[in-house]
Amino acid sequence: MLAAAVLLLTPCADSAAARTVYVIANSSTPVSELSREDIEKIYLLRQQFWPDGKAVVPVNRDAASDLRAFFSDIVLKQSPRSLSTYWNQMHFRGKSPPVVQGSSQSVVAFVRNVPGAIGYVDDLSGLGDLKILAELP
Amino acid sequence: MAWLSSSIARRLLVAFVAIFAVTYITTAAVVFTSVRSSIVEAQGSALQSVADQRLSAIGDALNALATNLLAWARLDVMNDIPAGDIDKRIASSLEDLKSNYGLSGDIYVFDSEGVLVASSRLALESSSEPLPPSWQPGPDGLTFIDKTLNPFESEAGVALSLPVYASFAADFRLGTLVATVPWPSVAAYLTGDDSHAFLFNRGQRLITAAYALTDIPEGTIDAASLEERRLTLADGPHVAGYSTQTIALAPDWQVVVLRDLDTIDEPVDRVAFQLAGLGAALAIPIVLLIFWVSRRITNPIRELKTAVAGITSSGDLSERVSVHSRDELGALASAFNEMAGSLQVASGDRERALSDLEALNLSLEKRVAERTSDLESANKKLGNLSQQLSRYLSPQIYESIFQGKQTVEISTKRKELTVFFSDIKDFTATTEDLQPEELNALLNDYLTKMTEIALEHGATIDKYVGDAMLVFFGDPSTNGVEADAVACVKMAIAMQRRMVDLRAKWIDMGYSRPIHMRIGINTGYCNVGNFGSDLRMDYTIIGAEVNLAARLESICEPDGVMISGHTYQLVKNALDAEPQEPIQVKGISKPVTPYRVNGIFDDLDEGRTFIRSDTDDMRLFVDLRDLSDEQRQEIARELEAKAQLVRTKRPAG
Repeated sequence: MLAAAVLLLTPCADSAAARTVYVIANSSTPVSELSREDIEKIYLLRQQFWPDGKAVVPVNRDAASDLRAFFSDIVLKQSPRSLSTYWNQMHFRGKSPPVVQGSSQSVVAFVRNVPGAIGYVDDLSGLGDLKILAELP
Repeated sequence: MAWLSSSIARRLLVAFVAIFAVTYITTAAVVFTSVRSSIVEAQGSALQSVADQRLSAIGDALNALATNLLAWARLDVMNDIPAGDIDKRIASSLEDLKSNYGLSGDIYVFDSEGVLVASSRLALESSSEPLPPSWQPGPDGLTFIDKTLNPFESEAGVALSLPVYASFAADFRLGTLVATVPWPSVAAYLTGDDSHAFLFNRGQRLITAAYALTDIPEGTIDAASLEERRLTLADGPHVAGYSTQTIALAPDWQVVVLRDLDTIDEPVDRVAFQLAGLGAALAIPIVLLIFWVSRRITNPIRELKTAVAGITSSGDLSERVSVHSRDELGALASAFNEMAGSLQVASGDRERALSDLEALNLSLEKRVAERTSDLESANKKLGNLSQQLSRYLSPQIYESIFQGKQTVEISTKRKELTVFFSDIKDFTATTEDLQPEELNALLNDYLTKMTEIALEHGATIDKYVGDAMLVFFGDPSTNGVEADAVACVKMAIAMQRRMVDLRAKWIDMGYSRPIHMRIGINTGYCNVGNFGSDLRMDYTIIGAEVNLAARLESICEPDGVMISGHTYQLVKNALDAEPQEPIQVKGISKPVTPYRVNGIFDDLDEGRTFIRSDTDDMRLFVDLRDLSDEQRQEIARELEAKAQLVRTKRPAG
């Protein structure tokens, strides 16, 4: 497990300085900018509604994704394991954890199709009319 | 029929056998019918439970699929629908589900726009096919899609359609999840080992048939076939079991399980065969028993018949019937024996009486014959006697008496009669030189001829007194006084004219002195009837008018007829008469004018073939037959010469 972490972290460490995460949202989202704290609140299910009352649908990447690990580390400031535990707890409280999508393309497609959806990608290509709410770090 | 009607035993046999047959057949028919209907009923209800089982198996399968579908809709992977399953996570999940659950059908996922996102069919291109309208789920969520063509699989099947909502937002419709079940999988639940099943919806539309016959027209299954548990298809009648339960997902579905009626006929036929066998087995001892009973009943009758036939053929009344029983037939036999005994006694009596009667009859016939011949001879004698007697009586009187119009008793009546009285002038002197025999002959000849004429004219001869005759008209029968009078005078004329011939005859016979008749006729009231005593009586007339007739006769010239004034008054229209010198008659104060009848002999010689003239002093006869004119002239000259001689010649001396 440690070996795996090392193996995983090695390229991250290499590209961490150069890597950027873009937080995207459905075009109907009533906000145009979010802070890292805002994003953290959304992904930790503390903010569930947009200012116009629509539900916030956060989209996560699959657990194996290094972008998810990077996003967890940079934006949510938590390890994926502790986040999983947290989301499971939230699940039992009746709050759905963020929707998981297996690729960036599917994240983009989901966010485009689901009003109130918010996700993150590391590539700006093919975004169309999606709103880019934040650029992290 | 003749065989039947000739014997009571046979009729009894036939009647009993018929009763047995009818009773048994009726009972057997009832039993058979109820057994058959109960078999059909049992089969029907058995088939019904089979149908229920099959329908509920289908229902269970569908329910299981529905439960799974609900679970599958909640899978996280469904959140990929909005992303169009770019990662093929849905598709791979569906494939896993299909293989894990061993689904015969497929699972389809459509997004909220109705575009196919993923399916368990690998070959299917995603996002190319729209959601078929028939697969659109209803507003209530899980929806059963009845048999329809699957556009993706090109085969029929049923489907369950479920709207999928997002796990992150309960009201966010992600799309539609559809699970199909191909029809063969459904139909597989219908097939059984020995029966056929149909799946109908309750609108009676055939959905499918696990059966060779699929072209069952709509409406074949109706309320009556449901009730009767029967269904007749093109290949014949069937017993049908209809499911009574309903399945929640397809409440319209109904399963009908059929079994050929032949499969039911087999036990039914067995029952029928057993019933027939039982009937036959029962029939033999029963028929034998009936035969024995009918013989036993009719034996006494047959004995009786034999005895009667024996008596009839031989006439032997001593035959008797043996009495076996104390029932009605025994009583009949006893009564017959008594009757035969009485008949025997009566027959003996009758034969004796008949022989007596025959003897009596013979003697009676003999006596009757004797009496008849006595009576016949007496009758003959009486007839002769009456014939003799009739000559002494006027025929009218005779007939009156013998026809019973007039009884012979002393009684007289007063009637107006025409009385005729005749005599022969100087009869005694004229006949004095005759022998008595000749006189009798002459007198009888004269009276016979005159009587004939009198009877021809309807006169009643009263009596003959020597040469005199008393005759009258008007009793016992009359044609009226005037007609009687005319008839009397015409009779008198006929008599005088007849006398001409008689005289010629008598002269020819040698009676040289001709006899001449004088006649007096009078009409008046006389007493007529039986005069005399009870011992001897005479039918005659009495009265002054009779005397007047006699008086008129006495003054009548020979060959003439003298009638009284009264008679003349009655006949003057028919005859010519001239009055004479009135005469004084005894007992009559005034003189009586007699009338002489004229023209008595007018035309007497007309039609005659001879000329005859006879007087006391002269006889003339000329035969005119076959005379030529010369001969006639010669006879005339001869007569003239003789007339000259008569005038001139005087006898010498």
